[in-house]
Amino acid sequence: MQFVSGRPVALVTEASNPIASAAALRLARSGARVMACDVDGEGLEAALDAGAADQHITTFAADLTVGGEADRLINFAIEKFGHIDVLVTGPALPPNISWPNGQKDQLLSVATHALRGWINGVQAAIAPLERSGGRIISIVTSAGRYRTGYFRPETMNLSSAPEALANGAILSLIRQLALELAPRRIRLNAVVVGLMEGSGEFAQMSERERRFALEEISLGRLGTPEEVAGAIAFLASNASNYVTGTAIDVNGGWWMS
Amino acid sequence: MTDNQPQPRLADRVAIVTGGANGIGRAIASLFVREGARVAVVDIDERGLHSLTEAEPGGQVLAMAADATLATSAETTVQTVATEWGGLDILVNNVGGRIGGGGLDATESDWQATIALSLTSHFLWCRASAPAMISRGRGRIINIASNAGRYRSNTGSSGLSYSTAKGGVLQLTRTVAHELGRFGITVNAIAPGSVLTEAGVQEERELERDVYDRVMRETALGYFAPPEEIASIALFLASDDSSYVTGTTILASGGWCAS
Repeated sequence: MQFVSGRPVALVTEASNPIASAAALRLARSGARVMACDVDGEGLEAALDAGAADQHITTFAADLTVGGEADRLINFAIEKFGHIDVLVTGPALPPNISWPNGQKDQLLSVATHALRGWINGVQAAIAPLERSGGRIISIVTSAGRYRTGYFRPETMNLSSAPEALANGAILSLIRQLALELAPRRIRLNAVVVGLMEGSGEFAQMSERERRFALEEISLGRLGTPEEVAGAIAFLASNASNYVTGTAIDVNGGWWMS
Repeated sequence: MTDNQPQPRLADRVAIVTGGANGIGRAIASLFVREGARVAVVDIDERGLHSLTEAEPGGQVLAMAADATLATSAETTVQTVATEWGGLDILVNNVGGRIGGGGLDATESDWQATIALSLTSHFLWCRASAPAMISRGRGRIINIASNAGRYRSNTGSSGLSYSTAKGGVLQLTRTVAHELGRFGITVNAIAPGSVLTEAGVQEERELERDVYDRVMRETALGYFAPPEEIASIALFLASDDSSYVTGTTILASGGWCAS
């Protein structure tokens, strides 16, 4: 398995997220020069520290939802490395909201805010990725393809509709942009992640619900961020040359498309 | 991936590839050998098997001249591999194809022959292989399906029986994945679009120029896949990198259609 270029440059956004940081570490271990970006610079250092001791990962604090920040990130990467081959976008995780009660337009504004970072990052990366024949790989939550949660909620206190909206939009954009950016030699794909070790969702379940969830998952266990990173490494490499516009479920055989 | 001295990714693994003398199966067998696996290749094409063993002289290929649609072939091969190499880690259900043609005008015998070749064979090899994998608590099954089984044939020429069989392969993939998941076995499918195997090239030559142009225009990446670009996906599914991926179908159609 080979990367697009011998010593590729990979940018990872939302890199404080455990899956995104696992992806950054995995790509670095496989020989990529990695730049990890997050709005939370300190959280980023902490997320990468555990495994980063012998890896070369450059960190960069930026809020991609703010105009001009994505360009600042890309310019910094180009100055430092000369080119960009891979963009890994971390998951869009807008907060749950009170819906349909609560503030009018909150669903749209919350989802849009989360989506803005993805759009800004991708837009800024297109020119350098075109030059390298690069890849965009997005980490997407199950809400984007299926739904959140394993069970019917007992009460409807808070809604994950913003997460569904933002992540569903990202999957739609990946399909569309895979077509539109193919002439510019850019491939886009997603990994759709299931229930991960250390996830808040699992922690909040009752014993009985946990047992049910594990019965639903074909492999009978939770996944690890490193396992998702394995699929991301595949999509970042030449091994996935003929794959674009797709979403690969990395969920141990929960929902299957 | 780009380490100075890349580690073979399937070192000491034992694999079976059905229909592996030619085309996608052959590309998979060769890649697996290059990555350190020992591969039993099952095919009725003895000349193809011979040329494969000539091309892979390192003793890592075991050529099995047999009809992959027969249950006895599956049982004998799994038994042989277990005796010779001590177990089975990876099954690639690659055998498949269309017999006869047409849609609703197909003969019943052509229909049944296509289903036997492209769908029932997958069931028989899964059934024969599962015990060897269960006993080790690990295993990988990779089914070669088609975009014709997920959406429809991109050229329109693949036919009803073939598309139906391939659709069945995708459902078999999900259901067997759920059945075998608790034993540490993953089951996934690859759904290729147009692939430049000898048979694929022949099929494309027979297309009207207009149809060829249309399919090419519909394919986002603007080219048909060399078999190696399908084999590299099979390697991912056989490797440790896909340990939490099961029941899925990886679409490999160059962006022809995706969902």
